[in-house]
Amino acid sequence: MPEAYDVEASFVAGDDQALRRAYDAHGRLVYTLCRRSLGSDAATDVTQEVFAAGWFARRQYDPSRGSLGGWLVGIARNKVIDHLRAQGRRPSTVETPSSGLPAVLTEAEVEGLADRLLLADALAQLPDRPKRLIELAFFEQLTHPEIAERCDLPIGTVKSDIRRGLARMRRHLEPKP
Amino acid sequence: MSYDTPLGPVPEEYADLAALARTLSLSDTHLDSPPDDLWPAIQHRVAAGEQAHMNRPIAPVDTAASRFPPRRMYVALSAAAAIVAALIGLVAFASGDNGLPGTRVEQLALTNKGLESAGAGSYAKATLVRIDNGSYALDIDTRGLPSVPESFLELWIIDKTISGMYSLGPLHGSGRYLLPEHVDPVSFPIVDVSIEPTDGKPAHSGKSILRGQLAA
Repeated sequence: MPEAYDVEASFVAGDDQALRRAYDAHGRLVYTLCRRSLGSDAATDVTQEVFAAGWFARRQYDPSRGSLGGWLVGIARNKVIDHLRAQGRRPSTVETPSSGLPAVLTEAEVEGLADRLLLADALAQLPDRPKRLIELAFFEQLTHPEIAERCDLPIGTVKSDIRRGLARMRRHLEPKP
Repeated sequence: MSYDTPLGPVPEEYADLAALARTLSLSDTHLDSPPDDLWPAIQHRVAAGEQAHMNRPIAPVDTAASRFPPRRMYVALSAAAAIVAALIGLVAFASGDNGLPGTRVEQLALTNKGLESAGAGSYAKATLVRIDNGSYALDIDTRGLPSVPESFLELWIIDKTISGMYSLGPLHGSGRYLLPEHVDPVSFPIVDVSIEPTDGKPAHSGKSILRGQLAA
């Protein structure tokens, strides 16, 4: 079996395909954060900035500290906040209800949104079984024996799947540029 | 151990994830697809940037708020290039005195080596002076500055890690440019002149034409 293409290592190395792969893997996440914070028009522009900035700063990304997706979202979060600050310095503009712009978010709300999107993304990227087990733990707050019974799995498997899954999720939320 | 606590079978070190998970709304689990022209736009931007970054010691890419703290910049730096440029420049200049008050601290040359070709015929001498109120200024002596349509020149001081910078304002030519009060020039040793488009964006354009570095 050919070795899986390592987007993160290739990204740091500046490999030809790496930016495209990174965009394919994380473009929707970055764009969604920008769009929900800034509206569609600014989101397009800021998403471009995020990937260009990430690419030029790629040597500062350290895969041992966290996922590339988390790192790019960190850049996006900073750029969104910068953008909101820049808007705040502008003379006030006329609000048009049809403009499709979201209500202006505070910086804390941007941070919160970024964390939630990352968490949801981290969960979505887990293999099916640990994903299901962690959902039962998070959302239904079942105990280990209850999860084991519900899923017809040995309790040891439940525990180790959840632990490993959580560690992978942590890695996605960890890196801050 | 916090197994089987009210948080369920979630180890304590992941309790924050469990708590965050319970704030998720349905919309957080749905990601939007970017418009189709977004990827080509990124390619275009990166290609343009790489052209410009080719020989550039620093590459500021942050947007609007970079002049206002906290400054966040994602950049690459070749400090060595800046130091070499400064050393070469120092040899080329003799010291001068413009008669303005202040105690001369250090003089450095700003050269175009490795920077934007628009500034190829330019050079400048920068003299760091400490003025009476305890703050600092740069006395700039310029030669051959370019005039670029729809643009102006701006003078900056930048820190060694390129994580922060101050604008000292538009560069109109030879003259005295004050550092902000309480800013220690040792912490911002890179002196930089950029070409700035008149686009109203306060951040450094990334298009530097002259640069030098204080030895301190």
